Amino acid sequence: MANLVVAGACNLKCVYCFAGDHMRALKDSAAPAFIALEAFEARLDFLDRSGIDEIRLIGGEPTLHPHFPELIRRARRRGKHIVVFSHGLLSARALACLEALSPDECTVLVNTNATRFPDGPKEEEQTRRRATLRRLGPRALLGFTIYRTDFRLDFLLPLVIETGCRKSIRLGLAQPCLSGSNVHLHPKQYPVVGRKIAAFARRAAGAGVKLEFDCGFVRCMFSETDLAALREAGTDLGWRCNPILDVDLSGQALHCFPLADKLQAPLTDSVDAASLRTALIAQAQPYRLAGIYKECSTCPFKAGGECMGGCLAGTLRRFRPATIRVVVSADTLVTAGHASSVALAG
Amino acid sequence: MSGEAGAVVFSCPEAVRWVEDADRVLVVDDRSGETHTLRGAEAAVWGWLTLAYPYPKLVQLLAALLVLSSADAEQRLVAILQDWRAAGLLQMLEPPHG
Amino acid sequence: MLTTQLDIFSVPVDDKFLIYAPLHNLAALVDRKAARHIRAGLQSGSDPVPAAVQPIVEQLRSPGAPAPAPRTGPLDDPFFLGLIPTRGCNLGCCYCDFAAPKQSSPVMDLSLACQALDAYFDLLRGSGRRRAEVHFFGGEPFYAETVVHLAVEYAALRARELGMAVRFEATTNGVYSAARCHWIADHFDTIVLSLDGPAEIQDRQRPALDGRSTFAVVARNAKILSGGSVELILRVCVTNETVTRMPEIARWMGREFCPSTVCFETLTATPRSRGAGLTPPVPWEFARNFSAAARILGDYGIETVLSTADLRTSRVNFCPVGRDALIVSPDGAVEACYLLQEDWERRGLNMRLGRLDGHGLQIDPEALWRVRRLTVLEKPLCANCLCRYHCAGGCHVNHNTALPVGQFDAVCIQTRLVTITQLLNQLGQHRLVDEWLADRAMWEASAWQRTDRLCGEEMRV
Repeated sequence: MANLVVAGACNLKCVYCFAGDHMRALKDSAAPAFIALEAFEARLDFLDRSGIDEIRLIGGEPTLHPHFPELIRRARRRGKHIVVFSHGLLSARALACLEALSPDECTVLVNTNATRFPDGPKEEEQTRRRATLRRLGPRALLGFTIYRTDFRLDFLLPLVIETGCRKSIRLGLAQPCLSGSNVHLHPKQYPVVGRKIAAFARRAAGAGVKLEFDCGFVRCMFSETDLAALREAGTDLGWRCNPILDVDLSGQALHCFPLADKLQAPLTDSVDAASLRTALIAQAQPYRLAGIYKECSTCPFKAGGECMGGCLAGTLRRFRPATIRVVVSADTLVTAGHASSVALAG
Repeated sequence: MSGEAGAVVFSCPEAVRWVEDADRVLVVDDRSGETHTLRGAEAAVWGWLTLAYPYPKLVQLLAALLVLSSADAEQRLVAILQDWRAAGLLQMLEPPHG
Repeated sequence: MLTTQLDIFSVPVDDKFLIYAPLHNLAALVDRKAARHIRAGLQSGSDPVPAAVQPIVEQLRSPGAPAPAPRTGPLDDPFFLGLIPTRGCNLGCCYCDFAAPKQSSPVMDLSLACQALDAYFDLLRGSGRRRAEVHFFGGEPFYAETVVHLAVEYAALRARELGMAVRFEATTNGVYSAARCHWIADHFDTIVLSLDGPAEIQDRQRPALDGRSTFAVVARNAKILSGGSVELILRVCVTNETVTRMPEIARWMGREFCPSTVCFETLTATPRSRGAGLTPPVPWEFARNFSAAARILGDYGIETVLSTADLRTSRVNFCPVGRDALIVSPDGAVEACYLLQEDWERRGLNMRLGRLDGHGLQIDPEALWRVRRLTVLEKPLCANCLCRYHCAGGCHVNHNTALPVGQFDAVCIQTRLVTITQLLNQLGQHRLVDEWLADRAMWEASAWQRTDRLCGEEMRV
């Protein structure tokens, strides 16, 4: 699996966006905001030599690419299944080119709470998104990013039924980018979120809809009762945090967007996804000993490999530089028998 | 930053980052990717250092923590600091000239 | 009739009755006819009752949980070890009546702190307990921070050696550097942080000793504590000036910070607070705004608590007094209460349990027995009140309960209103809560009812 950034721009302003820092840096550098077709071909070569038959297009908003239909055409020519991560407020042209593909050829993951507005989507956006979803039908998979504890999911069930999209909802927890500049959940809020998700899973199961989890969920955010309920509801459970491989516009393979500035490896003409993943895992290794909670260090689920300990960006944000400075008299060091290792002051 | 005359200054390199976990202090050296686990008295000393306790106070605290004489506590503290220096977690700053 | 059926209460709410049986884990809103049937069903013992009330009567006829009881037996499981590093403080809160000197109060010796911890761990080990709990009080405990910085590490080391778990908790004003706050966030399990509201409220009510603003520092530290692993409880002192702003404060706290709980407490009037023009809020106004604030915080997954109306557990003690808490003062005295001796003596109380000396904890068994009897069961005012197993009479020092049955004061009315509100909200009766609190005659009928027992001598329904 690898996500390819084809657009470094977006026309919405989700407060929880973890690509915000990256897009702002791109804008400041005056580099092109969209992938050139030649570079896109190189990405396709990379997928081929990695043995990946799915192309996952991300942004910003990937459908903003001025040659979006051409990207799709080129990807299809290579036999790739298309996955597009979108805010769902597509242009007519982008929507038409996706509509032309069959549901077997294409999946559009629509983030249903993406918005221009700081307090959440407005009715106009939801109306437009609903219209898009009706047209996409079974090509569409609904997604929702949880970034506040007072979230509500129930509107998704009638949306699934009404629009004929896939009977599955992908839930994501808003994770912090390393700078913490985006709105995100704090791990302390996870148990509250977990209870609400479990309750929703029960209701969704009643409507024949299953839940899937994006990365960053942790085992301990659910009680045993809620876990049982989630399993019974057919939820695709996972306590994952691994290198996604987000390949950005400059050809860097990022561990993931939140860690864009910290963990990356260059995409050259010879590397494949497996070797990039190996390199990024090695870079992340020192920090993997910890988790998002201090209790992760004694957690049997983490020790046993069942849970990764939550989002690595969240883990890294727990680390602090050590502002330590202590003055010791040189005499003291001499007395303590360490004279040979001390440059004594005059 | 230079040290006072007749004194040695230990400080932490910028590349060293740390976190307090339930049963340890975990220190990571970004330069080498090495990790160091501190427990017990060492973890306590690390925490007190981040609070900028001066050296004499550290000795007093360590003595109280481990029920040691002042001299023994001091010896123990110096050993800890030197071990950390050898491990790259601390660096010695240049003493002043003249 | 079973003894626990005496603890079944009924209060009128509009034309209905709220039946509350804390020991049967039951709350129900019924009409007058149903209430009469329930009462009759309980008094008759086993006679059949109408189908509509059958489930309720069946549950109430069962024995229920045993009534909470005072502690007895040896001192082998203290509620916690309390350490008072100092009674000094760096703030000049305008309602504080703590008589200890702010800046010259004695500081606990480091060795005394270690002795207290050793004695506590010995006591636990002797009784096979594996969980220790250490709380820090003041004044402001971090005003003598070195004691805390040592005590926590010392306790952690001892606990590890003994194979025990240890938890740390402190109540604090939050005025210290970011580095110190990070250390607290790293090492403590629970922090109760006093923060009265946004800047203009915080600085009016809780300025520094020199009158300067504390808001920026406390808010920054609240964010640090929010971002750490520590459980953060925000404690808000509500006055006549701030009561109508409780919903606003709740929304602000829900958005800005990550507390598990927001605890709204009403001002206890002091000469100092009167001089500042501050008084406790009107009970009804407090209850109405508490309800609104609780709904807002509930959306964020945050609990809202009034300490006398905390329905989460049943108890006969409002506070650590009577629960074998051992609170060590800077001079080595061991007491049941962290307030000053002159405060409890003014109430005719003696909270002294003993001393800590070179031989360990010297606890006077008679003192222990005397303090253990300080429960709601001894408080005539509370005898027939539906709040008795939650409020438990409130603070022994600050709330006078030596009053005739049902002669409720403002603290009682406030507690009763908030308790009833919470019970109705738990039953989903949000609109009724709003209507009831908006109608003076209605809520007065509930709040001023002198005895709430459903099966008492007087007709309750």
